[in-house]
Amino acid sequence: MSAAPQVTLESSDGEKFKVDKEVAERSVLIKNMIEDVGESDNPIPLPNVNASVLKKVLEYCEHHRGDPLPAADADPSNDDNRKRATEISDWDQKFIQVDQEMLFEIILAANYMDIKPLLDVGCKTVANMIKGKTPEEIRKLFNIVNDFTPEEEAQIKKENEWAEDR
Amino acid sequence: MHHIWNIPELLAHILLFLDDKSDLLQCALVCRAFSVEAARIIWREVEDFHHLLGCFPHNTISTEESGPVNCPSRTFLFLHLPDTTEWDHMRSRASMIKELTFSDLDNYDALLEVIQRHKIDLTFPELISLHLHNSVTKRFQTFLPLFAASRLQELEITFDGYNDRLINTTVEALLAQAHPLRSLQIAATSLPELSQNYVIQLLENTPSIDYLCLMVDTLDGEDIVQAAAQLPQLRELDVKLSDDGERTEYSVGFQSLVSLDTWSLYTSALAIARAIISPNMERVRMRVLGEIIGPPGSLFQTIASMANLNSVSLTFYNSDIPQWADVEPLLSCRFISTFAIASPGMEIDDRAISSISRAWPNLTRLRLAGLEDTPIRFTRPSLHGLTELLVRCPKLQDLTLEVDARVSQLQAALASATRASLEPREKLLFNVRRSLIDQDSEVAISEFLMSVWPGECDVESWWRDEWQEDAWGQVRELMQQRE
Repeated sequence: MSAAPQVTLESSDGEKFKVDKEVAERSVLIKNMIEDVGESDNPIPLPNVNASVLKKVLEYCEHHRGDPLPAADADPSNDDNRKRATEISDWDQKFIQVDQEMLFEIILAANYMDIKPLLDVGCKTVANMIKGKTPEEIRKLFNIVNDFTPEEEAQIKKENEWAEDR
Repeated sequence: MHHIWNIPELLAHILLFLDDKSDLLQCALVCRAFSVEAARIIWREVEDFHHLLGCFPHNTISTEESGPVNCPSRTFLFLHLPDTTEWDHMRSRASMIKELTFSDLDNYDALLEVIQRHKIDLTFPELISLHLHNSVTKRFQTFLPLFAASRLQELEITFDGYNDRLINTTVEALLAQAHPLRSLQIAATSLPELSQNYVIQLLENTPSIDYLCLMVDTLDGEDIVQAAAQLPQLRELDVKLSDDGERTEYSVGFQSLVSLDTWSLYTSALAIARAIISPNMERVRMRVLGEIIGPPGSLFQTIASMANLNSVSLTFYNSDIPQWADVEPLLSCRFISTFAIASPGMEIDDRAISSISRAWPNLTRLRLAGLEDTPIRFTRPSLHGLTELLVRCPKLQDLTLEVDARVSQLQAALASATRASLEPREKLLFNVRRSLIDQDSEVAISEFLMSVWPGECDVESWWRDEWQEDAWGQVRELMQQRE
């Protein structure tokens, strides 16, 4: 039996990762690059992803290599799609248990490499961290500065108060 | 602060996973970047138009309440006209709305007057779903131009009384914009011929409709149903027609239909079912009024010709009594997983239960019940029949069936259950209605049920003021204790 075709990916800090093409193609970005350029021994550069993050991303792709690919037109703003997607599998939960910096870097990498299921897992995890918290608690958690004037804050409270009872 | 928060598309993607609006409201108050993206989600679905008025500054609007204290009617009045910036802010929120519900248009006099007088361009460019729950009044005509730029896909509208002019205006507005309308729900106390023609004109010019719900209190809906038969993409049809309907034939069509839900006379129900040529029919729900004309088996034979059905629900009000022999043709539909029939006097015996359990092993819901309390003299399946059903249909989760649960039935039933090897089951909700039970047999019956359903089983009963109700209550308690 012949070996599965492989590709080499190069992180922003120059580290090379040789992986099965099937695994790399979980990334729509890489899939399109391979289709555009054709088979080549040259490493595929990923200038926005460093080695430690790329390693994590490839761990995810390896685990999910056989999963069906998400529909290209799946719109997360569609309520049904959102509800269907609210649960995170046990493996994904363990995988995404990383520090906040790494979590954000995984989200950025998934967005850049166009790996929608990984992007969803990362964003869901951040959303779960936000749930039930006050604005001040959210600011503290993510080190965000409050840039509202008191008048702006009052207006936002007033115009959205109907949403509070829901 | 991590730079991820400076990327609006990622912030928006994160906030999409917050399904509680109060969480979104907290996010709106974190910082300006959060506020913009949270607002887009909060304002996507607005249950009442008057929420938009909250976008104006505090001293712009007064609210007057009148009518009963427990259900006041509110009127909003402008104390002074909003300036350009304030209008722009309100318009920015309106532009985010995808689903909008109007409750009482008469409350918006002030807003409407300002919009009209100043020719304010208030549009809902993102609007996909519009619901007008209360009866449409003359105000609606004023609102129509506001939706000129919308991409409306779902419209739910209630007309009260004679509204030819309004219906005409509505249809003209919808046709003028060539909306990609997919879902249309119309409820009306009457639809005179002129109004019907407008609606038919809308259907003829809107081939994108895949869901049509029509509720009309007079005969006026039948011609619209006829027009709906030719909609090339119609997948779901819900019709509640008048009980004066006389139509016995519709021309064939409904070529894409998947789901049919009717509330009509037997003749009309049969005529619609006969007109369907779709091979994709999955669900049929019929509430049948009036007398059955002709052989009662005709309707069941027609439904049985839809070979891919997986869900059938039939209710007969005030009609002749279909008997199980009339229903039997449906057993040829092999994919049925939910089946319900309510008929005033259908008798079910072990033979019927046996054929059901053999024909539909994938049943998850089975409801066999008369509308009224079944007379004591009626035949009921024995515990032996119940055992066969539970053994052959391991996916049942919802069962309504009156059985003869007297102890004389018990030994034979237990023997057949013992022969079967039973796997653990899902939770079963078992409504025994007025099943017959002997006094002092509660322990034996509860043990029997636990042996034939080795999983959680919640028993309900419908006996009133009788010792049987207490007996079934005790069975329920014994089973709960065991769990």
